[in-house]
Amino acid sequence: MSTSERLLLTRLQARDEEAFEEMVGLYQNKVYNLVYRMMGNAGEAEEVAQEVFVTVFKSIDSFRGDSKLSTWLYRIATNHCKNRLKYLGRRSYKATGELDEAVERELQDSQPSSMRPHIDGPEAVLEGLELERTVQAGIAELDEEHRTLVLLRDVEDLSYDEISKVTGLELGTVKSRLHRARLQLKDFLARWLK
Amino acid sequence: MDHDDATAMFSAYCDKQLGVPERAALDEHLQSCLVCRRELAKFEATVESVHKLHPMSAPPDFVAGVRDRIHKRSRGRFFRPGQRGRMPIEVVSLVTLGVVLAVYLVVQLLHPQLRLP
Repeated sequence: MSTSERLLLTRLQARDEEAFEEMVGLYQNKVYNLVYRMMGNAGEAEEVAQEVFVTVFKSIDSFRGDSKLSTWLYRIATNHCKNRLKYLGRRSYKATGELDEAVERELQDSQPSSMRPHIDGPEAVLEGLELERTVQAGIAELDEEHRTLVLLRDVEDLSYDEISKVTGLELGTVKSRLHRARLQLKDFLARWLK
Repeated sequence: MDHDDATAMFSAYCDKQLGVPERAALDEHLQSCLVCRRELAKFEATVESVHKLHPMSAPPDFVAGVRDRIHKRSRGRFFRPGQRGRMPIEVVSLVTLGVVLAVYLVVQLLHPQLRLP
């Protein structure tokens, strides 16, 4: 944990509201992005991501600072997603991988993403959207644990060691399950993109 | 090395986690195995496609939403509207005490006859 993180943590544990807003500002996009990809729905993602920060506020005293703050946040976020998916599963909800209209608008309006840098114009935008939809659908097909591992590694760029700390899985288990998850995703994309 | 042995190394290969001997063994197998070369290309493309997903941003009113939730859950104890930047009560007390002391000292200096017995 860096010195600036430790200072922020001290202020957070003193229930400094400005420090809390600063922390939410720093991590909101990381947490939202992960939760969005886990849930596959913008409305659910906003609800769950906000609850993540409420939990952080309530439980900050229990965080001893023996890992990075972001690692702890990811752990809370993945637990919230699992609980929410379990709850929604009982009500026949399934992460479909469909992109919401608002999300499609954001993608279309955003700067050209690295998924479609080669060709300009509407065709490239549609191609990028189609690929985005397909990959999201593939992620939604994975079970929760495999989905978590793929997202932490390939979207959030966490090291195996950090993933092990977030998920509580042994390092070897992280490696083998991540490999299986990627193979499953590869097979899905191969079927879809045929 | 057979196809299964090679496939089992794809993930570590993509993440640059293979040791030198394993990497050399896989490279050697790939040179002579078209099937594994194709599978590895698909595997790498899959990892790359997830890596390049558009990063989603939180909605613009996200922080305000979190603030409101905590305000409600704490029954108004935290994040009171219009209280941003308010000085903590400890600081206010100290400043008030300092001002009273300063006024007392100035009065003592200007009017020593008012000194308390």
